[in-house]
Amino acid sequence: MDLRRACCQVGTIARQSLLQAVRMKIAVVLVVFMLILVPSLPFLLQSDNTHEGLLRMVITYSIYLISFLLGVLTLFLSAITLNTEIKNQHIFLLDPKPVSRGTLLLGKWCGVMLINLMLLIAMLGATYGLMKYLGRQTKGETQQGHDVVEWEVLSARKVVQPPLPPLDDWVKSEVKDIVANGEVPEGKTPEWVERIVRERLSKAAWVVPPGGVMKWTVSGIPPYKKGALVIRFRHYTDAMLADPVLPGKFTVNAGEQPYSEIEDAFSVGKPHTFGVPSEEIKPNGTVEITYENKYKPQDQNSPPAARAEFPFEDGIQVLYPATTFGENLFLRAGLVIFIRLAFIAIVGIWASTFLSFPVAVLLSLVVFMIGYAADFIFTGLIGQLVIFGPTLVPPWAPINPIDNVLRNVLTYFFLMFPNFSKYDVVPELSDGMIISMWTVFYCFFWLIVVRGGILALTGWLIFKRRELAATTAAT
Amino acid sequence: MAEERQVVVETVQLSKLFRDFWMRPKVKALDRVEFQVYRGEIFGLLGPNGSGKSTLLKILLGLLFPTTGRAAVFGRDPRNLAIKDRIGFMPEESYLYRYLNAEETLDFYGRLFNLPSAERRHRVELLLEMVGLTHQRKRPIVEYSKGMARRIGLAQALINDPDLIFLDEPTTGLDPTGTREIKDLILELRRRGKTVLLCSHLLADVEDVCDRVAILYGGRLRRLGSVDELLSLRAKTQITTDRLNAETIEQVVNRIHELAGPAMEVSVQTPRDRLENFFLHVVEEARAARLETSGVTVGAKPSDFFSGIAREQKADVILEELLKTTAERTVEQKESPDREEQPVVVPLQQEPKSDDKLISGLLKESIPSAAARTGGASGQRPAAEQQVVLPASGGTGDDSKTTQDVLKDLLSTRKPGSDEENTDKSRTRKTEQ
Repeated sequence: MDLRRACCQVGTIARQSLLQAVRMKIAVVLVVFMLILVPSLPFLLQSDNTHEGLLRMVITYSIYLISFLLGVLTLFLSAITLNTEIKNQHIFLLDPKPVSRGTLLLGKWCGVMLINLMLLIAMLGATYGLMKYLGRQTKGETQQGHDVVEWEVLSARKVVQPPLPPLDDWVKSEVKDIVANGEVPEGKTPEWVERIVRERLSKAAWVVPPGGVMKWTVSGIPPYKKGALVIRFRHYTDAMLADPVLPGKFTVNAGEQPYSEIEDAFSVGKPHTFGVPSEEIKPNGTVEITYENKYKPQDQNSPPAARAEFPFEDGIQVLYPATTFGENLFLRAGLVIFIRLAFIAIVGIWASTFLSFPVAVLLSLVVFMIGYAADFIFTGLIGQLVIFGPTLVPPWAPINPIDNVLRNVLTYFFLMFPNFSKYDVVPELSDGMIISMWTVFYCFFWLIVVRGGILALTGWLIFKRRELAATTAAT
Repeated sequence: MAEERQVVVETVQLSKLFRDFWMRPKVKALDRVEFQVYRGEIFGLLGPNGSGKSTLLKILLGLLFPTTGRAAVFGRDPRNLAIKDRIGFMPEESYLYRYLNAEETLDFYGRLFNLPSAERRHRVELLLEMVGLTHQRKRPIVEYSKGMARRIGLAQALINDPDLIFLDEPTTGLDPTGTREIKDLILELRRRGKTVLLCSHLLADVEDVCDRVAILYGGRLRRLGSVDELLSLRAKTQITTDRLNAETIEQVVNRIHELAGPAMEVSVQTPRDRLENFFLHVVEEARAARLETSGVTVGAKPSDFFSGIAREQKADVILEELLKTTAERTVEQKESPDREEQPVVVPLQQEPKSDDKLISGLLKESIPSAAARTGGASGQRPAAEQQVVLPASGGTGDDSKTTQDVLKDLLSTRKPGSDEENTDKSRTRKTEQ
């Protein structure tokens, strides 16, 4: 009964906050701003002159813009919503009502999130509409260009890869040989050797010599009827080619019906994709991909041999549509952005449980900026931090112990802050990849349950003990 | 034997010390305040600015916490959620959401009490009607006048049909009609068994409606008691009768002098004292005792608002002026030729002309106190009553006779058999015409 009552009160306070944002025109101004800005993006951005590139840029900028704008808005709204209650003394009427302080905080948070939800749906809707419109525009041009846009951007695909070779075993074995043969360079540690070996081997999971053939069996593809299966690959070569392209031929389901094949000179180091009809998926959910290295020296200056090396990470991938672009954008990307906003709202409300508006905003802004710059802080700042030791040392040289302690202290300190780049959905969206529910859950767990939970608990404890009329009574 | 009454609000040795950022003591807003408010009574909380009224109210509302001592509402901590269902609060200022209209405001607060939808709508209708804002229900509060905002503030305080209502300056900003309505409402609330804790600077309002009052100064409780107890002049005896003509009055006065001796001081006046005088007297007392206060200070403790000696003097002058009794000011007004244009309050303005001279004569001869001189200031006193005031004892030349004896003699001479009725009347404070 009390829970039901608390829920009703939370709803009432949230509804009132939403009404405030609407009547104060905050939401309307932002929606209008975004509705003007998002459709203008194609005219403002410069892409690589391909439709695919333009769409990638539009989705990238649009999502970053939405995340940033809503993040800043959330930060201000959450910091101001409770502070306004206290500053304008609305709290004098609210607190004597049978509303617990926790309910009040929760209601305020829900209010901010309701506004966010409304704005997020509107903004994602504008982005979705624009993307679909731009996608339709490609229909009038080449079918291939349209397909690429549909497969590569306006899609939500899952990746399956052939079984990967045992990289760790390879690395261990090679390092063992190097150490055993006394080939470790002077002044370098076995760890350094291992890192170098791993870097090298990870670029060459599969090696195909000229004239050689490599066959992969990719399994785990659910059968579906519409659309195309996309094969994506990237390869390198060990040869120094004047023109960095490597001729080769891909065949899907070679010797069977139906089958597809594509032969071309594929540039080295860049990802390539080609589509095959979804009918080529075998009933057991597998496809067989064969690659033949067709390199031949063109002249005397050409290297005699050029191996095709397929890296572990994205050497060969099969992408199949797992869900729609709309679902990926609204449900998954939207959820991750919403969770991030929810965390920012917790930070803002938490800060305003004990700080005045400007200080609360400042503190929230610091957390927000650290969240966005966390990668740089960890790798560029803390990773390179040298205060007590010499600055010009080789990377493999042991660092000064005091610097080491300092780095650890700072690392643990900054671990308290979130790293928003871990929950960045833009790479997946611009690549037409599905955002896994695991990412959503991971984001929810670390941002809301762990960090948000700690902040909410401390904020509630502080606010529960706060004298809401202290400032006015004392002055 | 006094009836056991249910305590609704109680403070025990309640103190509140405000500290600064470094936890150094800053202001002692309340100092061992102890009082009780009983069910069904209207309790007035009085005090000059900075006396601790607001702090006390905020502690009782759970907005501040006591430093030491205890405050209880319905026997529980004021922060307890269960008791908040039974409380209504009308603050001094309009703390309402400016972007909501009257209907939405009441609906919002009704929802916080989890009132069912139908009942909430019904109450909103009734309350809007009660405060006279039915036709303004859709206007945003930002467009309301102060008086209208006060009315909606009152309505929200009653949305949950509370058992205990805190009213902070309920009549501030209201026109006389609104003031009258609020006072009637307060009395109606008492009639319905509600308890009202009223905080006001408008002493006439407090006097009109309160059963008991507490006067705070410098955070300490200076007086506590029923309005009758506090305002009765114990050194005097007052007989209230229906309207007497001048001849009768003269005879009564003569008869008193005959019975009690010629030294007996007798005055004829309208039957009323003012709470304002008493209140100011309490403040004067406290000021004379140089009690520390966080509010407006005088003498050795100049107001923080002013700095520098010249300004301290200015502050003192302002405060002196503020603390002067109405009577003193009236006398000054009479004496000062510059103020001749100011309306001088003359008691019994509405008396028949034939009696004016005699009554004025009586008043000039034997005005007993400043209170008596300003007794008719409000113009509220009944024109059909007359008072005879005489010292309770002594000064008569006949010590063996008590005042009661004198009165008995007097009344038996004039109106045999009616002493009981007249005595009761003299004890009845009439507030209405």
